[in-house]
Amino acid sequence: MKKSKRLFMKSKRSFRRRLPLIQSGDRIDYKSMGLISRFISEQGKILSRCENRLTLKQQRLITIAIKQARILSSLPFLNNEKQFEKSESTARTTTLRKKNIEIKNYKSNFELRFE
Amino acid sequence: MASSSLTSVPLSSSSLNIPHSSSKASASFVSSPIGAFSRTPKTLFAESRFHFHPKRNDYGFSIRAQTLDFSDSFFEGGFGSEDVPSSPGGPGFTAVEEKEEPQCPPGLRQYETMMVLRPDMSEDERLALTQKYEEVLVAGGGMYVEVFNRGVIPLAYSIKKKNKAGETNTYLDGIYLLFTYFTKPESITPLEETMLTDDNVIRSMSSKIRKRKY
Repeated sequence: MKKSKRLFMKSKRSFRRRLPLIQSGDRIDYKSMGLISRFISEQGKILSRCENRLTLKQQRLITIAIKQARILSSLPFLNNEKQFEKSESTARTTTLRKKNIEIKNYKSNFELRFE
Repeated sequence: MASSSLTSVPLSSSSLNIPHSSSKASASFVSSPIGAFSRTPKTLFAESRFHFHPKRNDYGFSIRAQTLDFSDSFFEGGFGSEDVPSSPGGPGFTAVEEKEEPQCPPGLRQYETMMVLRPDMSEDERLALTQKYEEVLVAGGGMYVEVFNRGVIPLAYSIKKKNKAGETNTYLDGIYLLFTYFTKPESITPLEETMLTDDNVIRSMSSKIRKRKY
């Protein structure tokens, strides 16, 4: 009996209503950066309607506003976070090189002992 | 027997009348109810009560008085319940003040133009540019021209712009200007051409203002 109650409680929690991200008085426009910047990802992509939890009309208006803001250079088309990823990959290669050097040192010690 | 019955009858009928009425009036009252009480069998019950339990009669009278008081209090309670809902009967509606906007003249539509200017322009140059574009708008049939200066804002991405002299500049900042005006639909095209030709304007965009709540 307790397990069924727990399941019921869990199901209740998943159906909780969350506050809408767009209030009734807000105007969806390319000038309102505070409102628009909530609906783009870190890379600058437009989030999907399922993630934003918006109606069809709101999603369409926001998409138009984001694209207009991109033209005016208020929002980026793509964020340049890939450069950091490249630098990280180079760091990894340097660590691999260090490991190879250590292996060589070990071999040289062995050869000395053999002689 | 007759005298005892006569004395018991007025007590049961009305206790208040006894001290006020005189001897003659009491005699007249006594004469009329004799016939009524003789007909009804209640007189027998009254006689029996008077003889056997005189004190209980007094208790009965007092009980009746108490019941009257209780009914009064109950009735007043009813009045109290009625008074409570009457106070919030009149709800007040506060009128929401709306911003006054100029009515759209016939044949014209409301547009807005956002343009990004070079960051190295001085205030005088910017004012001259504003004046120039206001004249262009008025020449094209525009009315109620409003200009909002949003200041220097860093661009999200750098913009390369080629000059008339052939020089190429890369801009990292820009001055954002917003024009709001009413004008004919046909005059937007020459305005955009003028903005494209201008070297001081890095980027520009014109759009119609929609009249919806979103």
